[in-house]
Amino acid sequence: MTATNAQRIVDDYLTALDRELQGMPSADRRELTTQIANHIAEARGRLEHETDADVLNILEQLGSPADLAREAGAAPVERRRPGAMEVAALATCVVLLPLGILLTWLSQVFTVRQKLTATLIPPVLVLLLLAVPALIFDVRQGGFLNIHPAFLIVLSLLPGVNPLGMVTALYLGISAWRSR
Amino acid sequence: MSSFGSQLRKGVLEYCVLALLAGGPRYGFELVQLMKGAGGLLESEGTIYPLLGRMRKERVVETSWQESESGPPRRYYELTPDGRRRLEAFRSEWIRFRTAVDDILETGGAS
Repeated sequence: MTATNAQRIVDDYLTALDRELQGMPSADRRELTTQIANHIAEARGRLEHETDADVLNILEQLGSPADLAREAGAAPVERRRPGAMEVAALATCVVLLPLGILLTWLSQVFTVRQKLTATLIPPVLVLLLLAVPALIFDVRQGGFLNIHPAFLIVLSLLPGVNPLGMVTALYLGISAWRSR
Repeated sequence: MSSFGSQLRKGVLEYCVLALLAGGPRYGFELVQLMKGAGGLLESEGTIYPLLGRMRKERVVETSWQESESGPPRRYYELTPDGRRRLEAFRSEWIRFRTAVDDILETGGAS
């Protein structure tokens, strides 16, 4: 058989379509992607010996995800360049983490996923910093990192160059500038 | 012709769908095949689906899911009384329009 990639091709197409429809109400978005997925299934069901090329033809006749989204009236997915606001958010993350996270959420360039990840990085890192040594050393005996959790948390919220903020900023920078 | 043709197609597509449903319910893929058979009306097959979604919202069609012996369930579209009225209004409008344009194209207004 030569349809080794057919399912992946279809999945990629549907993922791309879903992304292009981001601006639409979720019910409309679901309706359209279901319809398109069913159309593809109907067309594939009519093939006797499916090949990758058949599947590509089906998708080509459907039109590109961007065309479909335009037809559906979805606002084009904005791929704005990170600008001064994003640089400010990153820099602020390093020196004053809570404000940096706030600026990150106010940015219209970072995606919700990036914002959530950025918000979760510091607390997860704090937990890891506390948990990993606790597994290796006996904290009660004043082991490797005998630090009160509250101290680390307060430290991460105070102004000053902050390693947790650096990791957050590094993540945001790489993910936002690379997806350009 | 390209831009004008595509505007014209866009304008009449909805009414062609209404007309295809006049004889009874049909599902999306079936509508695409019929439209393709008519030739030149669909720029790309997918465009019919956003249109069907809009028509459902405007309540000129209503939908119901039905099982198919092969593959996933099918969403059938059916004319509502509103849809039927819209189709009939278009039909008479279109005939008047077509006649008027044909007259002018053929005689150059000389008759």
